[in-house]
Amino acid sequence: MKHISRAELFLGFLKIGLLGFSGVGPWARHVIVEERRWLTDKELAEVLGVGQMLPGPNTMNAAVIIGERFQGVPGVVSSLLGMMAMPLAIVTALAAVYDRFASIPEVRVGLIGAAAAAAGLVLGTALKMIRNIKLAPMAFVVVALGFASIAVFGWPLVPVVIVLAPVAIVLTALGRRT
Amino acid sequence: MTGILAELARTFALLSLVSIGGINVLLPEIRRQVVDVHGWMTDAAFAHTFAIASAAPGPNVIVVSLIGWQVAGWARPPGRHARHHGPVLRPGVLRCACPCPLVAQQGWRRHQGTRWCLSAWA
Repeated sequence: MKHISRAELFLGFLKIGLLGFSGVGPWARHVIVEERRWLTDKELAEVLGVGQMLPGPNTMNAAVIIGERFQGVPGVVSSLLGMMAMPLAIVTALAAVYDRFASIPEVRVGLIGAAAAAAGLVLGTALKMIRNIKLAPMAFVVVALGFASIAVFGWPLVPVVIVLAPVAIVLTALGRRT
Repeated sequence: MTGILAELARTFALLSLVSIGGINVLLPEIRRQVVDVHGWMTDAAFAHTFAIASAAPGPNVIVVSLIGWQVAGWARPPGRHARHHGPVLRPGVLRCACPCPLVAQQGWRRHQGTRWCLSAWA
């Protein structure tokens, strides 16, 4: 395995955090696989897959795993600090600027536009995911139930998942057998 | 003030444990907790916060830090400079699930190459 110092981990993740707008995934691949060659494409895919299955934010899970692999717990600290330091500073500065100028009508209008765009991005991601995973017809029942309970009725997420997950598994199992 | 910080930490620590699949899965639940359950901000303020977080670089989860900043900022009595302690404390809030990947990585290293592991990651 390659030797990667804590400073290298910090700087690499600093770059990933700074470059990644609306999600750091693509930049993480560019920096980790192509530019610095810490991991191969396949290794990174595994790390991201594990990160997605575990609770917690995906990219932070991945940073923890990569940091631990090369430098143990101190590596985890370097990776996380690197990835979060600049974004935290920037986002807090943005919020402070907004707080200061929120009373100006143009600022408010601009932000409403930005909010609409952000909501559109999330919707777009959801639609793309639905299209890409090629759902069985029965799965759309689960999608519709999930959407209705969260978006229409506003029910809490945890009970909805606890009820729907077994339903989805049973439906899939039944679908396979026939 | 510490009451709100503790409440923020508790709320997001719980959410972090159920956030399998990423931050977008959690957005409706974060909104429900922040707007409906705790009444920390209005719907419009939540949308604005999300917009600001989307406009900044970095992992999407940064929105959680910003919510912490906004909530504790607005809840504070006058004396604005004290706010600056806020964001330093709050990033800790999002990291509550970090032990999970750590444990997974240890387990992975130990069992790497066994059939159980290969089928799990396949």
